[in-house]
Amino acid sequence: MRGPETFIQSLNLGGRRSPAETLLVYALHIVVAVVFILPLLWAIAASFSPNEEVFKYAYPFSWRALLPSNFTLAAYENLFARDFGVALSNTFVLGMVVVIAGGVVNSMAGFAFARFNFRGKRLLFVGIILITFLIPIDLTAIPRFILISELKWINTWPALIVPGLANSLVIFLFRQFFEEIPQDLIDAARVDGASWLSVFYRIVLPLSRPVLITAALLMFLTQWDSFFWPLLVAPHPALRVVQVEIAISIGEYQTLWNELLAGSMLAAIVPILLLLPFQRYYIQAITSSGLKD
Amino acid sequence: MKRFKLLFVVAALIMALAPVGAQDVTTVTMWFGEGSTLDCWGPIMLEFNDVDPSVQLEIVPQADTWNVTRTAVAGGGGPDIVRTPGPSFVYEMAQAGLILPMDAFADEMGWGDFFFDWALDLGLVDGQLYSLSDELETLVMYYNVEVFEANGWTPPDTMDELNALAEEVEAAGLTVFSHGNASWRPTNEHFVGEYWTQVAGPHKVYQALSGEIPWTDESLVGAIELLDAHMQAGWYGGGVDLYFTNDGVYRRTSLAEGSAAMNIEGSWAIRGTVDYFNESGQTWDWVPVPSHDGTDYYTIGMGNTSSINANSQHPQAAAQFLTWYFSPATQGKMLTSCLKGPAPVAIGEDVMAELDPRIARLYAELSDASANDRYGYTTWTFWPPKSDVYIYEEVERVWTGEITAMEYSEGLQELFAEELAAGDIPPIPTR
Amino acid sequence: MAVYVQTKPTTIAEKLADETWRRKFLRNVLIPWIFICPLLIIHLYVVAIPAVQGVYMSLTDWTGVGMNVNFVGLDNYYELFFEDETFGKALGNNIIWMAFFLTVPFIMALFCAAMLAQVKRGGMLYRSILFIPYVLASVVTTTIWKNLLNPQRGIGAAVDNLLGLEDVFGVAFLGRPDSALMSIAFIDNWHFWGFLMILFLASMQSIPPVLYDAAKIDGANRWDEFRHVTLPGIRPTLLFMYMMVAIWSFLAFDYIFLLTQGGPGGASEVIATQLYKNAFFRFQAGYGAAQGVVISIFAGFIIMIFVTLRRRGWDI
Repeated sequence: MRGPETFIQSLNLGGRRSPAETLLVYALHIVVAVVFILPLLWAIAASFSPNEEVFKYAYPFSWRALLPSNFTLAAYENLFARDFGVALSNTFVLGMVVVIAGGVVNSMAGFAFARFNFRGKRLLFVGIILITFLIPIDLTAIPRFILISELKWINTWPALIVPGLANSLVIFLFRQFFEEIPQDLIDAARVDGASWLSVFYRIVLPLSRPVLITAALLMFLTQWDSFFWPLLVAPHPALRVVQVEIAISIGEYQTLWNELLAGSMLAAIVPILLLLPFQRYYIQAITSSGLKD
Repeated sequence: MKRFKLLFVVAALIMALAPVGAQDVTTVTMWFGEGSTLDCWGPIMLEFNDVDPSVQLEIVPQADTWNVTRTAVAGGGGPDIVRTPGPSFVYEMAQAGLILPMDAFADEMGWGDFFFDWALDLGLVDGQLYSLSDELETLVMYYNVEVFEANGWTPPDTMDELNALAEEVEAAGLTVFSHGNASWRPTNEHFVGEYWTQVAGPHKVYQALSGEIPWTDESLVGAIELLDAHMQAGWYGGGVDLYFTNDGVYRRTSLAEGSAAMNIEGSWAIRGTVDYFNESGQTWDWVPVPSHDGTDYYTIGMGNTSSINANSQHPQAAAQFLTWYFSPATQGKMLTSCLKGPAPVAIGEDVMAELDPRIARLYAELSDASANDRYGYTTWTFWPPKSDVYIYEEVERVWTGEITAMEYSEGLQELFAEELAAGDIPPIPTR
Repeated sequence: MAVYVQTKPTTIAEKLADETWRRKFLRNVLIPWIFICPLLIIHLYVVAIPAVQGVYMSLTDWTGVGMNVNFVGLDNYYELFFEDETFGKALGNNIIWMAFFLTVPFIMALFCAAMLAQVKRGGMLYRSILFIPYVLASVVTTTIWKNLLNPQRGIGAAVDNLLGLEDVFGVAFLGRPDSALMSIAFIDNWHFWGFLMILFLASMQSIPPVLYDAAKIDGANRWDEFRHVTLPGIRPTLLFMYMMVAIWSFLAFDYIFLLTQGGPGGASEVIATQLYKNAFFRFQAGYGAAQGVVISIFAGFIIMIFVTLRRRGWDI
């Protein structure tokens, strides 16, 4: 074990550091960051270049590829001329509705799984959580699509919203969190004559800010990334979502690289803006959600 | 206040239940995926809306078009006009009752007057017309005129001449064919199909397609072996591994800029070729793909097909659009304006005269070849689906040295025999 | 409690008249179901029933087009395990994929998180940078890397140029059967490991500093600290992510399909890419569905291992 030991020691995990060591640690981080960010810089630069010049300096690769070759906002202008704005707002509305309605549905179920004992609970939990978790989406897409079209929901908002509501990971997080709430709090409210719904609404939910934020993030980001399902059930341009709108830049014979990259940059901003301030909650939830039962 | 908020959410949900877009006139919908193609095709197709104000075409740009279309149609939705990538897909959809037989429309609207007979036959499933073929395609050998002139080369007619030329090309430090499949993996099948046709001859291929001889026939296996030899020699993009990473941009630029001498590609590539050569300022031209004996064989294929969705609310209006779209006038206009591969319909001489002579010559030669028994078959149009996937997927294992040409052919024979027996085979024009 | 048992009512009318029974009924039957019902209805319709239909389709010769299907029993499964040799290869690739993702990103993420836990200034910016690839669409990531790894025009070629070499770094990584799968894994990892690192980092920062101080007093060196304080401190996160990554390894699809579509010559084929081709190109959706079920079973198996370990008292 001598090898890794000295190596890791030299990298100074914890404790005081000499200035030289500090320098080394920072230098290493800068190298990692540069390696990481190079491809991204190219993508950003390319999104500000005309489509014909996207690969101009990438072929062969030179440092000039990291600057827009001929600065233009054309890609962004074309995107918005092509209703990218509509797609952005659609996805945003979709995400918000799913967060609110899905939050209600999943938190209630999570509460029942956490705080009640009823017949079939275990079966339901395993059935709901595990089945949803394991079955690949391709397997259920067609039967689900048939259901949606029988309901005459094609090209409507419910087709986009309803399937996004039931989310096993979110139920799981809620159950996990609600289990930790002290029984005394609930008992006290019950003794005061509060109904279960009002216990849930007035006692449990106000205590659950972290898990509510996490669940909202999870559900919102899932909607933000969704591609195949919206493409399938809501092909109408007025209902188009972000990822679908981006993918349209990829043609069979020619790809509008600058628009593709510009769209992706814009689409990436939202998750970054959401995740950075809330990452604490997100990580807490992910890390506390071991699979029990 | 909280109650009010809840009400608001409920109201929003109820409002959301209303479908988008109420329709007054009859609207025919069509899904379309190809970003830049649509820029040119779209406006011309929308001219249909001036013909009869009560029937309007709506083009919906769509990502991943075919996969979405088939899932949507299978589930009882989808556009009125169903476009598929080829006859074998039509076969499956017709069997499943997802698209309408169109014989009545064909009679009523006189499709037989402008479609070539063999082309209408391509759309038959169990004797009924289910689809109209679009985008007539063939493969030819493009070359860079400046490169050939500078080196004093002439385009090869036969495989032997190609062999000799390839040595000179390599000696000059150039790549023989600007090839690669990184952008479109099924590109592989283009070469398999060409070598079968050009080396073994289209009659052999026809016999194999109709089950008279197996794919393990010596001449057909020999074609695969020759292709593999050319691949191993690095003709295709500079080496087997490079072939797998060369993308579409490479294919076009290296030919247009003269770092590669030739390129066996489909007629669909004309538009891109023209664009890239305009940029590089060099000259392109084409010759038929070299064959074993110098005969000019042209394989025939279809880029896609159009059918009417069985769920369509107004099939009559959809048929009306198809009649207009496939008319020689519309097809001619799309050919001259967008260099779109024309549907197999009789396009007037006057239209052809407007075209770049090299392109006009291509279509003239193609129709000459089909009239004179010099036509062959493209794999994506005439092979059943599993065999087709096998052709382009497994041939890579020949090129990476995992299996021999014979083993490849045996595998194909087994699969093909199964599909032939099950009747899953597209209609093949009899010779 | 004993009192209630003695006066347990027997008829429905008596039951309804009995206050205790009513409360128990509410508590144990009615209220829970009220809470669960909205989810249950949605779930049944959009998840459970389609999933059951999907499993049924795996027992048929469904083409994926239309709904006329013939029941073929376990034929698809038999073919999968005993006749289709490409399936074995794909499964093997999945296992290689899993081996890669259970080691490389974990080592990278642990290493960087351990170092970064010490950095006070600029940590947020740094984290954000490493996190960006995770939220980029896979189409974009793969496009960028296809170009960077291009043997003639990518970074490798540029390095060769710089050093005056020929074809040393400019190798067709994605075009060679021996390197294709690992190259894809490398690219997927570029996108993935930042996420893992952020998880570990957060987990490490929640370890009480007292523990480190105590270790120092005991004369521990930094490696000991890492082994005896840091690692046990993030153990639940670590093991949970191990399970998740193991499951995801069987679902690996998008990067492989976008970069090589399983090629060259099946060298990077995995079960999910086969499933896709069967369902969408070969008109063998029933067969593809069987592959989907097999993936699910593998994933279920991994979960079972973890659940069993937990039952045995592991802290996961």
